[in-house]
Amino acid sequence: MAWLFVRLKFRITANTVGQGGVMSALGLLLLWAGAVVFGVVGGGLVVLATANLPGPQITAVAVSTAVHVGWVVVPVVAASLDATLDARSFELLPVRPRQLGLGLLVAGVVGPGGLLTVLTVGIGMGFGLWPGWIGWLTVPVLTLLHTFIVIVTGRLVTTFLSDALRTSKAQGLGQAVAVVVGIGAVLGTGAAWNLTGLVDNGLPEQMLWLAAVPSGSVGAAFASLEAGSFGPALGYVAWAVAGAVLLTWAYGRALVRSQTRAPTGRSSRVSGDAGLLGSRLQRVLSSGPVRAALAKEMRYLRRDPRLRAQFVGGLMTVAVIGIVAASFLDSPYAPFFAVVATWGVIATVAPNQFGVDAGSFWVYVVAPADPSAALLGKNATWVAVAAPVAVTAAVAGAVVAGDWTYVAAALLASGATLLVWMGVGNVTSVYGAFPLPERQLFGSNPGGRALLVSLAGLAVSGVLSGPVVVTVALAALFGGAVSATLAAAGGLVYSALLYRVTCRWAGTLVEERRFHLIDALDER
Amino acid sequence: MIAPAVSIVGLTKRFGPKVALDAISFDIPPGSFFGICGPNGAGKTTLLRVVTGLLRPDAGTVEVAGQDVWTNPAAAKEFFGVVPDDPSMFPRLTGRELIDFNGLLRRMDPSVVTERRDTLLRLLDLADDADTLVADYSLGMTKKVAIAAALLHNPRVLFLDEPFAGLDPVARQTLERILARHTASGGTVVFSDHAMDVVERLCDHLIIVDRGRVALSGQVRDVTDGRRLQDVFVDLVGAPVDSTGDMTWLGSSFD
Repeated sequence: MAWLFVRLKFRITANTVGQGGVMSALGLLLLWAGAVVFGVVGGGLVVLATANLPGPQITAVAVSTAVHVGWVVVPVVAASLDATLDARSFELLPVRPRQLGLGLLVAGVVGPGGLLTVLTVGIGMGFGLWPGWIGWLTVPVLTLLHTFIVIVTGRLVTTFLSDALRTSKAQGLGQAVAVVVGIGAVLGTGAAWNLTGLVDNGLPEQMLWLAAVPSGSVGAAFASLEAGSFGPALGYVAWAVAGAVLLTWAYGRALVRSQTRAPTGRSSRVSGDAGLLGSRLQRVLSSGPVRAALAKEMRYLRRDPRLRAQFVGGLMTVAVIGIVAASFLDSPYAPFFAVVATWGVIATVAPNQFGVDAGSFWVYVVAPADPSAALLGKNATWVAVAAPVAVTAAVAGAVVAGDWTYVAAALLASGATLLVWMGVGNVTSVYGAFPLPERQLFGSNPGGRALLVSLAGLAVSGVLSGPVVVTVALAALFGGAVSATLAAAGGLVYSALLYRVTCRWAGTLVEERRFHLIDALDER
Repeated sequence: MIAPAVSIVGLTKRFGPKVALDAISFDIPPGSFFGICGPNGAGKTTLLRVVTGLLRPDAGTVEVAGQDVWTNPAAAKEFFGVVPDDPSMFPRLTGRELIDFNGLLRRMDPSVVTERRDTLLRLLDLADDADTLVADYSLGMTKKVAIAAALLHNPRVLFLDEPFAGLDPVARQTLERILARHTASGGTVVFSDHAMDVVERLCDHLIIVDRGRVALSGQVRDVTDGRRLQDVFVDLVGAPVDSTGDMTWLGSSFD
C-alpha cells in the first residue's frame, strides 16, 4: 500500500510538470538541485565540524536537526508543496487509517527533503566519522528516530491545518505544535553544538527542558552517550520513543478526524461583526475599496490558518535569528533588531499577497473599483501589523542593551525595509501569484514560474534594501546615532519613492493581468 | 427601437486548438428573463465568463447597458452583478461581512449596504447564519450569499451561472420570486441552466449553445412552438447512441 502512495506521488509530479511546461520543470529542477546542494553542504559541514570538534555524534545530530527543521517549518509556511499531503483526497477510498497514515508518511519521505537527509547523513557516514561500534550502531538508529519524529510532526501539523479541521481551536493547536517543535528543534541544534565539550550526563541544567521535546531528547541522548553516561541516554531514548508514539497516535487521530469533516455550524460563528476592529473603527475604515480590503485582511489575519501560519513562520525566523545573534543584543545597536523583526513580518507574505484570496480573486475583478485597491488594502494591513512589531522589537532591544541611542534610527530603517519589501512584493504578487495552499505549485496554472518569480522577488528586495542597510550601518559605526538617524531618514525617503514606483507598476500590472491572475489563483 | 441590455457581437474564444466560442452574436432585450442552454462543455460558462469580464475573448465585443465591457470596464461593471457556477467567496468572512465587503468595494454608502444586506439575508433565509463563516456554509447557502452580494447594488443586468443548482425547493422558489421581481421592475436576468423545465417556465427568451455556436435563439414560445423544450433541445443537440448494453458486468455479481 505504501508503494502505491510513492507511485502516486511520482505520477502526480510527472503530470504536473508535463502540464506546466518548461517553467514548471525548471522550478522543480531548482528545488531538487537546491536539495542536492544543501545536502552536500550539510554533509560537508558534518565532515568539517567533526575535524575540529569533539563529539562527532552531536555534530551529526545538530546538522541533521537543522535539516529536519524544514520538514516541520516548510509544510506550515507552504502547506501542500506535496500533492499527496491532503488526507481528504483519499476520503472516498476504502483505505484504513493505518494504511493511509503509513502511505502518507512514506510518500512524505520521497522528495527533496528525503534526498537532502540521505545526502547529509550519507556523506557523513561515508566518511566514517563515527568511530567505534557504539557510534556505528547508535547514530543511524537515533538519526532515523529523529527523522521519524520530525516527519510525523510535520504531517500532524499539516493535517491539523487542512481545511478538514476548520475550527479555530484545532488550527491554533496545530500552529502551537509547529512553533514548539520548530523552535525546540532549532534550540536543540544550538544546544547540541554547545554540548560538544560537556561531561557528566550531557546536558547543563538550564538546557534540561530541551529534552522535553522529543527531538531535543534525541540530542540529549547523543550528548549522554558522548559523555559515556549510558543510563541517562537510555532514559532520553525512551522518552523520545514515547514522544514518537504519542505523535504517531495524534497523527492517526488527526487523519481519522480529517476524513470525517468537522460539523458545520456553531463552531465557526463569529460574535459581533467587528473581528479585530472595534465596530466604530470598523465603520470609519470600511468606507471605500482600499479600506474595505484592509478590514477584510485584518479579519483574515485573525481567522485564516494559512495567513497566520505565514505570520507565525516569519516571527519564528526572527526568533531564531535573535537566538543565534544573542550576543549582538548586548550592544547599543540592539534596537536595530527591529529591522530584522520587520523583515520577518513582511518577507513571508509580500511575494504572494493574493495567494490567500485564491479563487475569490474574481470578486475584485467584477467590482468596478480598481483591482489595485486590493493591493493597497493588503499593504495597509501589513503596515498596521509590522509597526507594533517593529516598535516592540526596538524598545525591547533598547531595554536589553540599556541604551536608547539608536531607537529612532532603527524605527526609520524598519519603515524603509518594510516599504522596499512591500513594493517589490506587490509586483511579484501579480507576476508570480499562486493559491495558498499551493496544491499545484508546479501545475499548469502558476507553474514553476511562481516559484522562480518569488525567488527573484526575494533577491531583488534584498538588493534594493542594500543601500539602506549599508548606509545606516556605516553611519552608525563611523558617525554615531545622529548620523545613523539621518541616514535612516534618507533611506526612508528612498524607500518611499521606490514604493511609489513599484506600486504604480503593480497597479497597472494587476489591471492588465487580471485574467492571468484569475487562472493562476484558481485552486481547481 | 429599445437599446439591448446586453449586446454581443462576434465573440470568439479559443483554448489552444479547441474553439470554445465561435463568433457568437446575439442581443438580450432589457427586462427579459434570458436563458442560456446547452450540453456539457458547449461553452455556456465560458460565454458568461467572457461577457462578465472574467475571461478575455480573442475577438468580439460585449456591451452591457451601452458600456463596452473591455474598453470601459469600470462603467460597465456598475451595471451588472455576477454569480459564477461555483462561487468562491472569501470563506473566512461571515455571510454578513461578505455582503458588506462587496458593497463597500463598489463604493456604496455604508448605511444603504446595511439596510439592503439585512433585507437580503432575511429574504434568503440566511439571517440566522449571518455570523457564520462562509467556509462552513453548505453549497446552497454559499450560492445564496453570492446571490445576495450580486443583488446588493441593484444591478440592471444579473448574470447567473446555474443559480438553482444546490438550492433546496424553498430557496429555489424564493430566488425565482426575487428574479421575477427584478425583471418586472425593468431589470434583466441572464442565466444558464441544464434543467429545461426551469428555463421553459421562467424564461421569455433563450439561446441554445452547442460546440461554441448559437444553435437556436429567440423567444421561448417561438422556439418550442408547442413542444416541450426538452424535446427541442435533444433533437437539436442529438441524443447519444445507447451503448449501455456493453455494460453487462454492471450488477451481474450481486447476490
